[in-house]
Amino acid sequence: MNSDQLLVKRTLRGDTYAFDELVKTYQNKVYMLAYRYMGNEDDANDMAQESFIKAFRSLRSFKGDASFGTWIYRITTNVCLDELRRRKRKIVPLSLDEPLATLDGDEFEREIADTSLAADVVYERKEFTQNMQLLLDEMRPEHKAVIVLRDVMDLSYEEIAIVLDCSIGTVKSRISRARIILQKKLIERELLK
Amino acid sequence: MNCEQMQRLFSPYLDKMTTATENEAIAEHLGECAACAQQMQEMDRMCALLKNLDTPPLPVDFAEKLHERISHEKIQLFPVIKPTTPKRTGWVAAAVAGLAVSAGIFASSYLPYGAMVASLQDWMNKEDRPRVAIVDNNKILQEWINKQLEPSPEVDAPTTEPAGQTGVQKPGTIKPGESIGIAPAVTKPVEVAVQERVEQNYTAKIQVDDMDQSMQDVMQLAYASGAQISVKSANVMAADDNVKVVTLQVPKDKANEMLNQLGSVGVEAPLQNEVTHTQAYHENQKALAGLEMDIENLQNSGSLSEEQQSQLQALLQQQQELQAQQEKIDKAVNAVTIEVRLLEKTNP
Repeated sequence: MNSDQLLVKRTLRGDTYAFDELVKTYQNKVYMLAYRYMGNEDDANDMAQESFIKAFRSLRSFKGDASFGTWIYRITTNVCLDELRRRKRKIVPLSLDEPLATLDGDEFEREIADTSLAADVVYERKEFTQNMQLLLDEMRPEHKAVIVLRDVMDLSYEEIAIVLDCSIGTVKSRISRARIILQKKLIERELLK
Repeated sequence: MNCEQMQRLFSPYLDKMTTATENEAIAEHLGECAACAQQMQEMDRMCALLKNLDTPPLPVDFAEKLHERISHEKIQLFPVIKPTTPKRTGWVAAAVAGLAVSAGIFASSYLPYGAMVASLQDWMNKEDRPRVAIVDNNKILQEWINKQLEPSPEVDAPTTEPAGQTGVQKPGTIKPGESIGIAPAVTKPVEVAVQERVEQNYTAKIQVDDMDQSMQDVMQLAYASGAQISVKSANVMAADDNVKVVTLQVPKDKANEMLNQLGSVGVEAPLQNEVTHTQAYHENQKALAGLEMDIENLQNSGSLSEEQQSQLQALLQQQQELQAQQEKIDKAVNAVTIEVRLLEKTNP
């Protein structure tokens, strides 16, 4: 039994300080994940708090098959993507990278001229981060999720498959597709030199 | 494979998730197609940039707020387990077992068990098999059969216990109300009795004419009742005023007496304030009970790995810290704090 599992066991016996230890270990990663999904500090804070509360409530369902890290990332991903989908239904009807389906079931990329970012962007780290976040926010939640989990959080394909509850094959093709879309956007805005 | 098909492999290729055949095809294609080579390079760079994006720091009160929310969670972490009554099918099992034993004893007088066991032993030896537990069982069986065959008045009630089961509780020794054959399936949460832990504080102001004299009076009273004393000068609103704060820690049973005596030197109607430590104390108790179990488990598990040793050290340290917190609460709860503010108006 590793130390995370021991802490889970102690929490289930009523020791909330043990849960504090788990929070201490994962709070930065969970906040980083939530921030990349949500794109701003307030939402990231709310979603990260919500994720830990959900984890606490459903701690009994943590069986220890996967690591506690993967489990909490899964909860955070679900909490954030649900919120993003809920907002999308309310405000924005379509994402820019959402493919248009034709009658024969084929999909092709939406071509929309972008005016939100200046072409002559100065390559400052901060600005680059902001611009990258804007591009990530334009992506479909499923594509955003795989980019964030793989490239930002550095999770393996196997871990991403657990977090997103899908096969490794799906993870592989989804990451490939998401990276091609993001790369295209970066090149269009001359952010990748 | 055309360029578009090839480009779909760049992502898994960068993550080392392509097969050897795919790797060969990619290398060959990149050697011939400069545009694809550039695209692969750009994707690689994009991935590197994504790894180094800035994230704002975690809010400083994140963990604190979370702890507060979690302590207010009214969740069923410990589901209520309804005790189940054992099914009354025990007598059926007992009857079947009784019949089986009787049939065995009866059959043993007809069937050549001894010869069967001997031939089994011969076969075992012939095959040159290792003599494992089954050999011992054969001996036990043989001995038991021999005993059965000997004329004895106790033959109808065999009392020999099978080897290895000497500690098994016999029917009839079970105490009334004890459940039979039902193992607790769910770990019982640690039960800790909740006791109120309330700290009592009193704050009193007194206006004095002579600060030194009044201080002396208060000190004398405090010493007489065995109180712990600390004195400090307080921040004053008016610069001319001279204010001293005397904090007295009085044993609970002497608090009333002390308050009465303070009244004699002019302290009137002290304000009472109560600080409840019950929840914190209870949480600490639960944590301590859990820690003790973990420590005991680790200590009983024999030789410890390096990781387990450091885990044990961390648990022991945590235990010490929690015990110190409990002692502090107990100390605060078992004494009454009386804060006397002496105010001398130097320039009335």
